[in-house]
Amino acid sequence: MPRPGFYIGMTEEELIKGCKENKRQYQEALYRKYSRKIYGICLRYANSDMEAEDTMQEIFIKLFTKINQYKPGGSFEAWIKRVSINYAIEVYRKNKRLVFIDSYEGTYESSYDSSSIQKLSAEEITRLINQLPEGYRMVFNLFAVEGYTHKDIAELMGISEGTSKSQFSRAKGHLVKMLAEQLDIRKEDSNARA
Amino acid sequence: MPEHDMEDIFRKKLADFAPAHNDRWEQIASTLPTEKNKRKALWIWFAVAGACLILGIIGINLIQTDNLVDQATQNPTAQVDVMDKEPNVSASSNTEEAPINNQLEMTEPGEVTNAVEPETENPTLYFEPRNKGTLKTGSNSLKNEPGKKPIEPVPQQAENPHKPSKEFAEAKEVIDPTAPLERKEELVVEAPEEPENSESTIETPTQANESNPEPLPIAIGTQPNSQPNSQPQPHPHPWSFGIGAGAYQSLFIQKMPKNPGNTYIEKQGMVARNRDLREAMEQGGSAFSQSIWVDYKPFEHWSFSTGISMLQTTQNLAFNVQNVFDDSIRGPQHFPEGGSNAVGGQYIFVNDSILPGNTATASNKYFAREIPLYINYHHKLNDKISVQASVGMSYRWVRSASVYMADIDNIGIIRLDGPENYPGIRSTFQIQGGLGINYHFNEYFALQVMPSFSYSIQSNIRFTQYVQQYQHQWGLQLKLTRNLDF
Repeated sequence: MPRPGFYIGMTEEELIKGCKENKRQYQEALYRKYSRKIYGICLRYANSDMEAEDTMQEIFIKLFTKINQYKPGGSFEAWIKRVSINYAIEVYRKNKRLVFIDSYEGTYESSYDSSSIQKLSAEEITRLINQLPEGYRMVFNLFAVEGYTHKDIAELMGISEGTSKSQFSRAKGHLVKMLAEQLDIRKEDSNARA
Repeated sequence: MPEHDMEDIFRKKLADFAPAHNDRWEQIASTLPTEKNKRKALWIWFAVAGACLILGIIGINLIQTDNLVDQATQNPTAQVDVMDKEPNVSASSNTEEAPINNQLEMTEPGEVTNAVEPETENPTLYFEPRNKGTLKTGSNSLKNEPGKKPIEPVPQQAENPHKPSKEFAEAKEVIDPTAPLERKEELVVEAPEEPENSESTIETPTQANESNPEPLPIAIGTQPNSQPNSQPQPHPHPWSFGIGAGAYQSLFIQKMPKNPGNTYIEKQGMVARNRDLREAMEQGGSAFSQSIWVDYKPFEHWSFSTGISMLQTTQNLAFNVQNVFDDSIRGPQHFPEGGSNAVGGQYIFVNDSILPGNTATASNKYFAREIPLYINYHHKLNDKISVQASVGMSYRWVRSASVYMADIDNIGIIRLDGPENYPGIRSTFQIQGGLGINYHFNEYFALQVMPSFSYSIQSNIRFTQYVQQYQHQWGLQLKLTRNLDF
């Protein structure tokens, strides 16, 4: 087991080289360095913490077995992130039935206070996203968080571009509604404390 | 508020989101192949290839040396007789003394030949060149000199007649190999003129030679070759170049993954269902190949072949949706007409495109390259026709794959460029072989027709949690070869 902070001071090239040579110490160092970020990605796509950890585990196995495909020059972190997102989606698609809800009946709340959103932590935002229905969550994550275009999402998920747009719009509405509820709860809590 | 505010805030906040989690390193490490295992696996393949090569070389050498062994065993007494009479012939053959060799260069081969008279009826003997002088030296050294103890004959050494004997070791002590230059010169001149030296055992052949003027058929310095035609002859055109094509029937075997991993253990039922589903769908397929070959024929009967093949395999799949999978039908989707290069292998084999109530069909096309290595045995039936048996291995890797499946408008294609886009696709080793006929048009051109088989010892599609697919095939391959002049 590498000592804590083994990778600190080590260049990324050294870390990658060690992993390509299948050296366990370097693989563990890579895991320690990136596992929390990858877990954060997985959390957005999984239904539970346990499922996110399972996905993260599989992603690392995939990363270590495919690391020879990484071409030096590009950002390693971006590569890891892309692999993670792709795999998270792959697992999601293999294990779930992707059901797009076209009959969302909630009210679309178009106005929200951006300063209130700023107060939310990343964990709270993740929890909010996790509460979205599965189809919405996928499209919202890919578009709003990962930065994919609707065209990319349509290809990725085998849906039309229009479907992607409408799913995102509904996801956003759903999220705003949940956000308002969240902020109301906070407000009530602070009033109660006052 | 700008429209994209929410996305921007989310993106920024989540960019560095790194929550704590349970440590999974132990589970990951236990699943990863160890460096040792990886090396071991690699060595297994190298060992197999090496063993095949060594066996081939040994086989060729055995055939080549069989005739020499036969010749050696045909006249075993010739050497023994000589050794019995002339202990120094065999004993000196191991002598590496430079002065002796220098002396030998001064002697004439004819002199040496005449100095020996084997009494066998078939005095086919073989001496190394240095024995010419050794014989002289021995003859010189063994002349009856007053005060010198006569040397006893060397006992017969059946195992290795060239092994230095104890007697020879003693003789070497008596004979100073560094001294006899002057004496040798005397002897070369004197030996034929002094028949009285015939009392010496070593001089007896010289004496006998005088009564037998016929030159003896002793090959000195050359290997006896009483049966030149029985040795394997090098092929007049050892190198040849060829082009080939083949058509095959493919068979795809679906198996459960050997190591489904510890994450999805609870989903074994799903894995089994997936395997069963693929088996139910499997319709076999066809394959075509184009190849370039290089053959090397070190001997008349044996050759080695290698080259590169481009292989296109089609796998057909069909099943009745209603009966097999109707509980898990997912809504039909749409793939672009020009093909969708699925990002990160986002490809669901069945669920994407199956319309309930229909017989669904799909086909996969794999475009692979292959490097074969064959050992071939040839047997010529007549001037025009020869038969050939081949066995070997090949390494195959998939360059791209296309998946044709009916989608909502029946025109969908998924095109996966590169194995990285095809989840689970793997390179494989195959055992291959065949038995064919060669028709030789003339000295240079030949056409080969060979029924062949290929048995995959690794799965070409290998999902950790889902399925492993083995591809075997048999068919017919044609090959046109042209012998090269070097």
